[in-house]
Amino acid sequence: MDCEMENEHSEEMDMEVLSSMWPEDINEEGKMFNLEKPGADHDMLEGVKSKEEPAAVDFNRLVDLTTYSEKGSSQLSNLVKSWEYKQANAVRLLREELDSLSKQQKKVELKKLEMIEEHRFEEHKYGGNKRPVSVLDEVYDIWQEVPRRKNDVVVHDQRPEIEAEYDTIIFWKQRAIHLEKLLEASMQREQIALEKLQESIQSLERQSSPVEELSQVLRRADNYLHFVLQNAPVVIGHQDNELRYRFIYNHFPSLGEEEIIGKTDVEIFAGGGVKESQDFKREVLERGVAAKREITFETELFGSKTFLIYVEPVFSKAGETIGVNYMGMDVTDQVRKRERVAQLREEIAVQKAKETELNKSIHITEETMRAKQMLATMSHEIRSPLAGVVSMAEILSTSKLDKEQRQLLSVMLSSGDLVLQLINDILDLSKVESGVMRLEATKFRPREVVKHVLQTAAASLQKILTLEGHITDDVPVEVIGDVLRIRQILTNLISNAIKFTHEGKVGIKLYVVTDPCACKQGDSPNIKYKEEQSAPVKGSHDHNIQSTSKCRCDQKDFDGQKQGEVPCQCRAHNDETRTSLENGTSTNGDREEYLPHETTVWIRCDVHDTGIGIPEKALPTLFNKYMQAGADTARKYGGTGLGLAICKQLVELMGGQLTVSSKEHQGSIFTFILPYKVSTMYDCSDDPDELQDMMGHDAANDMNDDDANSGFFKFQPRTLGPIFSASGPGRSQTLRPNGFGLGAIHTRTAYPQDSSSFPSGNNTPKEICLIEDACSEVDVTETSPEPESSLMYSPECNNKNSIVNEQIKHDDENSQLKISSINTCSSSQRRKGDLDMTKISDPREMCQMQTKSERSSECTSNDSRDIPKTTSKPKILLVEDSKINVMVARSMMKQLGHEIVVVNNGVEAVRAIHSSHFDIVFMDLYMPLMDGLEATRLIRSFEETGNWEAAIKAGVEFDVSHSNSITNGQQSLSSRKRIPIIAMTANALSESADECYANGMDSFVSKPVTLNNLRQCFQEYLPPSL
Amino acid sequence: MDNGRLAPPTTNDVLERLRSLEYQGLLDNLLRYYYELKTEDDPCYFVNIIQVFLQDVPKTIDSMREILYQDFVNFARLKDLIVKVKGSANWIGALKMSQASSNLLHQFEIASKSGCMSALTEVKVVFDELRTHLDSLIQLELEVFAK
Repeated sequence: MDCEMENEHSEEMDMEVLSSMWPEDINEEGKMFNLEKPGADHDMLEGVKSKEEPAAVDFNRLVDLTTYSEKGSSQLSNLVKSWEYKQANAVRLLREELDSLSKQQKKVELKKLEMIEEHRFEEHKYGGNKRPVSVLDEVYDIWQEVPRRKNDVVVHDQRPEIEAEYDTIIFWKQRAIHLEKLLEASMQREQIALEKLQESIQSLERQSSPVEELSQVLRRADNYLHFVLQNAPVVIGHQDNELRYRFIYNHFPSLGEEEIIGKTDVEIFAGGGVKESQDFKREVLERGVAAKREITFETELFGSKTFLIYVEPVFSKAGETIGVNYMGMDVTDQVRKRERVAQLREEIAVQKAKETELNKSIHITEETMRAKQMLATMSHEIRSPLAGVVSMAEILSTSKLDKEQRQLLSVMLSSGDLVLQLINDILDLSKVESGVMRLEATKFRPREVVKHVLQTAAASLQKILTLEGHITDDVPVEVIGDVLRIRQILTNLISNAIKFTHEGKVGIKLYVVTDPCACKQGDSPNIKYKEEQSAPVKGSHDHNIQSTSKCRCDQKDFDGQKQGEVPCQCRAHNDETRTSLENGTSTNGDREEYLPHETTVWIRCDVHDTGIGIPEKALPTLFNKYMQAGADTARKYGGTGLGLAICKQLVELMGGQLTVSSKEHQGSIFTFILPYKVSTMYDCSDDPDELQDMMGHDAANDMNDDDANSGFFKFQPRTLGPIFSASGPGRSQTLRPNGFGLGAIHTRTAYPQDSSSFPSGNNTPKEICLIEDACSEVDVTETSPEPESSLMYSPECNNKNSIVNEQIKHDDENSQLKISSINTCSSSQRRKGDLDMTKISDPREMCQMQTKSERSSECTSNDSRDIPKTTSKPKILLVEDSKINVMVARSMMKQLGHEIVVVNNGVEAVRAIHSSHFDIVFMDLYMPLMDGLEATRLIRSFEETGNWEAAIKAGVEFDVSHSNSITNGQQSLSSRKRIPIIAMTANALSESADECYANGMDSFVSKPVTLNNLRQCFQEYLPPSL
Repeated sequence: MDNGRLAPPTTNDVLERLRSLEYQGLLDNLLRYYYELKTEDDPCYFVNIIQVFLQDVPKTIDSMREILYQDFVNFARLKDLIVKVKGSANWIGALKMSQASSNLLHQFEIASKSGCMSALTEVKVVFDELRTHLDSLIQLELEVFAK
């Protein structure tokens, strides 16, 4: 019952309904009082019926208390005083009553005398002198003036029945009778007053017993207290100095008097809180100071209840404590409510704290994101002018310079490149961390990637190092992954390895692992570091391994699916395996929807070296940003400490894990395992263009099958002589193969301060200058999609180059052809310009004419039928509405030896693609009529479906005759090839990038476009044959 | 100075003038970069760029003003024009004007017509200032060219 009520209480917090302290159904007799609807006319206590003994009392003790305790004495004396006061009051009232009666008596006597006197006088008069009787005598009645007693006998004026004649005998007789009656009545009243007086006196005597009076007072007080306290959840008690109960009111109903009186708490109850209660009472008893405390009882008798106990000591007249009075109030509900409120408050506080923490976290996250964004923006803002500086320096380097100037310029260029590289790194990191880095799924050949990376590294190698690449047979010929990022990782790791290796070998090993979780450091079949070798030889591969991390088991593939064990058939791929292209799924851009016949293969890549190794203490923080092995290392070898951090984040982004194992002075192995999709269908395509597209940026067109399937590459360093002696306009070697995302400037540096760059020994300016003077083949090696064409600008270097490559000569010939073609073109244009200029004398006029001619060419170029169809030059379409942009772009293209077709909006771009084939499209994003994104979508739609329905639906109108002529022709097929579309945007931030990629663009360059940007684009996206 | 006459201007003078404008914050180094791109077969390239800029921008500004002073503003057209003028400023590296255009775009984005008007006035003021310098620069370049 209590529990139910408590529940109700907890629910109805506002409504305070007090329950009985003790259970109601303990027994029927427990209901001590019956108070039923006391009306206003009833005495409240009249209907109160109390139990015979609501309290257990030791009366002797009570007597003792009232007799001997100071409080009891004073209470008694108060009662006596009260009684005395009442008695005095009663006496005073009686006296007043007596006085009043005696006064009345005196008055009556006086009246009587007066009457006697009067009648005697009248007798004398009647006898002698008969006076005349007045007519007013009848109303003259002296008795009317006699004061009457209240409620006494009323005496009426009874006149004689016979109206006797005045002064006759009859008259006087009647008169005498009347007076006699009045006298009798007066006498009766006096008698009654005396009786009443006597009665009052007797009554006073009866009431004069103080005991009875006090008993009544006490009874009334007792009744009142019962009435007040009968339902109150209180226990009142008195315990003697041994803490034995002598009085208790409202005790637990089931307990009898004999079970309480004379016993202590611990003797009555058992359970929690009882001892505490007794101790508390004892404490009060000893201290002599009243106190209150909240005690929770856990007893079998009444369960769990909390009482607020007030205990006060009782002192004897001598001042000694002879016991304690206590009052306990059941506050269980209140305590529970209080606890609940406290709990709620606590929860609210926790909630608030969490909210605050969350807000802080959000704030920090926002701030971090903002900071990153700002950093990215700043980096971009810094990069743009810096790119301008570097570009101008590039241009300057093509002019005539003396040796000193060239050296200074080379330092300037390499420094600029370094800063650009750093900014690119920061942007990369920012992209990865902010989650905007998008992975591209393209088909590529792992062997070629490894070969290319090593070959590029070897090109600038200035140490006696052997670069090795080993790919086991089970590695598929082609896999699907983000080749740009994989190459970026490999290049970073290889450049690091070379930087920190002074002799011996640096290499890459690629092999398939069945279970990525089971990989262990040093389990490479070829690279075995054996612990048992106690005295490892420096430069050898045998040494102990210290690993920083373990492989992750729940790695994800590109689709975000968890990879379990890699299917066994993944290993069954032989070298002849080729994957097929289906509907352009090999193109860059969004992640592809993989078909069911694709499987996943985990390929492990070890980048090993015999270098200086990494101290054990530096291993845990090696992949942290801006962290290097040590200050000495940073000083000696340079770098910013971003390279490995980027590698790690890229690997993790691709669902893998990058680990390192190293031994100081013996070497290091950086290992990453990545999942790749492999198409199980054989590629039947013989289209070389398609194959090249499929191979992404690493496939070499002229690579034969042996090369593609070769499992081992070895590159020896070239002699330093040609590197230091060769001269040329080219830039220093760059290795980072990152794409054009965010308008990246693909300038790379040989300045060995960044982990991505190759070392050149000590970083003295002098050496840097020497490096910059080196032959230019390295530049071409990186930027050309053909690895073998890397030496085409410096055939004289090739003779001394020890790179093991068979096809250099062939490529040199090609490259020379290309250069001569460009030069011829430029010189012819120059001659034409000279001729034009000679005809115009006024320079302003001439300029205006030239402007007009450019505009006219621009206008005519909108008609795509007039587009020249040459096979030697790439056909470039510029979609741009700004005249200035067009002029700048045209000028730059001209300098690069290209001509462009310009259209002014997306509609015209679609029409141009419809009517002609282009090798590359530069597309502005924001244009009137139709923006670049929509135009790209329409073009991509055509490439996928082979029809222009989407464009027609979008409102693009085509020239019908021209459309018919080409629909069935050869051009239709060629134009369905995916055209690289490069966005030109001023916004280089991630949103813009996402939008571009989402709409089918391949890449984008940020405005203002520089020569270098364009050059990189062409190298990246134009077929090498053009 | 030679025989009391000023020496004919050279390419360096043009570059110096450009640097001066950069120093004043009117331009960034882009125009100078374009100047470097000038080749013998296209000697008017630099002048043409500036001339196109100086011809296009006033028309665009006038169009914008016209739109803004109408009761019913054609916002789509206005945005095209704002982007156009901003793009033009960016392409020649007119830093101050680019900033003014950005402000105009911002006012457009928050749909403040009065803000657009005042921002447009600012663009016009900045452009007028720039035009004076660019006219002078063209004159200088033409003198170099005539030499």
